[in-house]
Amino acid sequence: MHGIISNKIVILLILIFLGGFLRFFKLEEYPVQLNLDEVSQLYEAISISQTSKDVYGNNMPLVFPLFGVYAPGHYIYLTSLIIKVFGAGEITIRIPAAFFGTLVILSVYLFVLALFNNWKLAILSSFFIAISPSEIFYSRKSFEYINGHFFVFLGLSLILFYIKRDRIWMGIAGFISLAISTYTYTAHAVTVPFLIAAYLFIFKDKLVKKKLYALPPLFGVIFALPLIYLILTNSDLHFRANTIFISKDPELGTLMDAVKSENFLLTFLFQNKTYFDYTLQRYLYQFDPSYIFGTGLDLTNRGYLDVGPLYYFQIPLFIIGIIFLIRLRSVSAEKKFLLSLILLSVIAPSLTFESHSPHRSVMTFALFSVVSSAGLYWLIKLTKNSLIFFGLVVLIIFINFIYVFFVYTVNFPYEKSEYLYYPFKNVVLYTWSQYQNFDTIVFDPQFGEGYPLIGVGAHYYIGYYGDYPPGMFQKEYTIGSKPREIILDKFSIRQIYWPEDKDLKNTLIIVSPWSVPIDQIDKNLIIRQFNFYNGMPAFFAIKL
Amino acid sequence: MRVKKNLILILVLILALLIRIIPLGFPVFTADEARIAFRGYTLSSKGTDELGRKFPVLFNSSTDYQLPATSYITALGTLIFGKSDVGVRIPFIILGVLLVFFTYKASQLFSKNWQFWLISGLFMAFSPTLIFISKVPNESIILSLIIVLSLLSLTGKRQNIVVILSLVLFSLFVSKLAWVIMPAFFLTTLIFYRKNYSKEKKIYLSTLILMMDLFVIILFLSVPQSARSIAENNLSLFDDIGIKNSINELRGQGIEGGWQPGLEKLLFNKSFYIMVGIFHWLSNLQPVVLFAQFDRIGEFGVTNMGAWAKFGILPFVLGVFFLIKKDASEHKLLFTYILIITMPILFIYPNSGQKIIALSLPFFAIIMTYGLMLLKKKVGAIFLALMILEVTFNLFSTNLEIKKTENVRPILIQQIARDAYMISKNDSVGISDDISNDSAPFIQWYSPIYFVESGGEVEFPYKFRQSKIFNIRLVGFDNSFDDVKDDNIGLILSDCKLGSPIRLIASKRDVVKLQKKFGIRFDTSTEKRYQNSFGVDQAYLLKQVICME
Repeated sequence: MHGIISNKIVILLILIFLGGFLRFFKLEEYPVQLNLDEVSQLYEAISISQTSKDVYGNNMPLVFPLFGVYAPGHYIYLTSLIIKVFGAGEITIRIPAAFFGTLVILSVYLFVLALFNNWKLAILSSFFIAISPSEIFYSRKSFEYINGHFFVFLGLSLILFYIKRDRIWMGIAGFISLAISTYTYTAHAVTVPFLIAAYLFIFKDKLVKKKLYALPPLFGVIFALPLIYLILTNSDLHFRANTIFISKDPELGTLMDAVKSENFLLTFLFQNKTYFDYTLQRYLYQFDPSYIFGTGLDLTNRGYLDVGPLYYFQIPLFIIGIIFLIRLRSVSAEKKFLLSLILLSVIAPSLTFESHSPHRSVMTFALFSVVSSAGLYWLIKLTKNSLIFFGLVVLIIFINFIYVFFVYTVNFPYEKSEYLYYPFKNVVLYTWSQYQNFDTIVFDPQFGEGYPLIGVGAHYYIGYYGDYPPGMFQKEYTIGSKPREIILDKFSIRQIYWPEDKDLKNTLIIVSPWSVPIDQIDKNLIIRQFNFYNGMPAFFAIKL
Repeated sequence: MRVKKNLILILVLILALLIRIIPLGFPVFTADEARIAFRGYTLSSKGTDELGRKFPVLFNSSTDYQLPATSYITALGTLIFGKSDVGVRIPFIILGVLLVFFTYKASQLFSKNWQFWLISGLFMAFSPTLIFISKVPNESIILSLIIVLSLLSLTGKRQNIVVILSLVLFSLFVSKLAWVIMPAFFLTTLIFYRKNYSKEKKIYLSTLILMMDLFVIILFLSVPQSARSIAENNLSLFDDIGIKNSINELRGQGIEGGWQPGLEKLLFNKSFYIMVGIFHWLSNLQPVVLFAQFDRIGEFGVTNMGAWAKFGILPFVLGVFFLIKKDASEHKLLFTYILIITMPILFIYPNSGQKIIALSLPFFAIIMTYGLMLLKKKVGAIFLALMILEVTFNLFSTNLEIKKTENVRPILIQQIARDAYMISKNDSVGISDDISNDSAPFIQWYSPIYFVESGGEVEFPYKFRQSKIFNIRLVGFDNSFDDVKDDNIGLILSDCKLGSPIRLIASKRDVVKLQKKFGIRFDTSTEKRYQNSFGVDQAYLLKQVICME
């Protein structure tokens, strides 16, 4: 017995180590540059650790305004603690997600074990999580969802163990864990109550037989109370929810206008029906197989030649897994619960203005991995542990993994560097190197390869890469009078109006071809060019 | 009891007929449907197609060749009902109702329960997609019916070889898709019901089916542009330059990053064509297509409903679960049919696969019936009632749908066609060719003009677009305007010696072009404005006589 137990633990530890390696290996280099979310959170964390205020001077805020997105602050506070240990290097911001992303392997193992009481299936599931493209991708980019993702699976496993092992502390800890997850990301706050409702409904017969069965959920509610209060009273959170809600989808807006008529009742009826139809469409679109297995991570601009949250090889395994689970007898309630989790975890991504939000669907993808691992488990059983089959599976997985690895490390930076705000870091480092040579530095962050994007939040890059003390930042930061203008020390981040700005003196201007006709400018004035990762010009430094 | 059952069946068929008839004006025709409508009319009235060819077996469209069955079935409608939308729709409505009836019959292969048959029929009767394609001339509704009839003919107690072979032969003249789907469908059915056939009969039937298929394919390949037609429309996956470029681009990025070309080739190679095809196939079978949005642009279905009403989701999921759990051989057959029929989608990337999915809907209906039968009677009845209510409500409130789909199903062009015809009695008329993507068929169909245009020397013109119909011509982006004459504003700029004077129904594109050239605000001096359903100006009938080169 001891031998078997230690084997299980050894395999699990190997998988956790493998997953940890894939999440921490060259964490500073890939993705190739800190994106806006990362830089802003890192600089806010520095600000909190040094001044207990965010960069706008708010004292220990629960919701950070950042660059207008109003994000819950747990990740920033967590990072501010890590800064005390590891310093404020670029990698610091990525450590929490990579750490919790590694722990997800353990929590999914526990979840599957609690659900099916089958350690082999649990091991296969945790293996798929360890190498999962979506898990690795989001664990490497300081994505706060991942921390909650760990707590969701941990909570689910504990409340499932609570049913089967009758230990009340497991139920209490499970509900507390689920409550904690809701603080980490809005999608969890939306999804978790539904998951709990499904749990209470499906397992109600077993739950009511327990003593003090109301106690664990009560603990969950108590732990969630501050968040509930915050949701009800915090206008910033309302603003955040409003800006990303499906009602902001322009296509839906057009449809709602199109059904308007002079009859109030008809307008009301048709608008609500249109809203419902559109939301359901959005919900079902989350189950598009090409999105799940082929394109969902959006690492390239090449249509179906992309990487999905799950591997190609998981397509047949997923189908086989469904067949296996449907035919599996004796775990009827558990199967219903798994199906409910899949269906409910898709609610949050379907309620946003984006047609697909893979970053809000990581839990769904993890559950799909569990299903596909059931497919592999069944195949292994059917082939009676055939070594040839095993070797073939390993080969296919390896080839697919290498493909994903290549696209992530090689092609992704080429194809999507502008979405990582590349080359903002180089631009800002250069401007700081020229700090003494100019009276003013004007930076117009309008840039892009195919079409212009406005690089909001450029002040965070300036603050972080200039080692600018957050205390100073809080004093110097002002909103200017020109379009999009933020003033910080010598820096003016704003829209360039060339007919006027060309006459400025002793000024360094950073600008892209979207804002200024570069070919019409005296070449001697252009002192530096900054390229996207693929070599296309992104910005020019102009000396006036 | 038998009488009662028959009466209920008749009621279902009447409901199927009514939901297909009302509203009669919906959906508005696409350019291709208008072309088939006009062709049906010319075939029935003069015995020629729109290009003046006598009873041809291969027709032209702006995208591909068209096989004859759809056009001749349309001709039957116009022969009886004359040149009207109703005349065109009625044969397809009848086919749609027959499909309901024969699916009712086919479902008897899967259950002995009369309610099961009836529910299958109801699912077919109230499938938004099947209702939609029962109202416009298209090959899918014909082929769907043939597939169900083939299943019945192959599995009946007495197999009539003549009927079976006639069905095969007819299907091969409906659509090129049938050349792949029908042999596979027949062979699968023969294998599955092998006990019904002697070994000799199986070999005999299979050989004849394959020979007929081969014969029709060879016949088609004798047409000069046939290979191109197949490559561009039926095997477009391999013709897609985007995939090739993407492979090269991704490979190049790796090589630029210092990786070995051999390794890059190993990772990014032609096997991606298969992956792209598979994803295209799966994407066309996704839940949203079945239950929420069969067609995003409204060419092959309404945009706010899937192949089935939303209330079909639960029966479908339950049906799939039930069939997988039971694991009976006839249940596997249902999934096999769906796979075989929809498989060609794999090869048609990036073209949409809706017309192929439609062929598999009878089998989806049977799966859903299994699911609905699992529900308690009252609950099942509520689901059916809600499904019928949803479909009926959506199909009776089509205003939004007409607005949303007017890019592919333009309603405005009908009025423009009629106006152009009236003007053309006295003057030449020009119509900007970007008002709709292919205006000629609309002009032919919606105006009293009877004018056929030769496709030139070529016997089977491929992707031929008509640009001149009697006194009306389409004005393209390349056409230039030489001068302008406007008596009202005192401008007589030329006698139009070099070009020909026309009255122009201009799109914004041409109005802007004229304004730039002559510096006149044409939009303020128009005789008539044509606005789309959103109230936005789409075209203007100009007062001035334009001189076109």
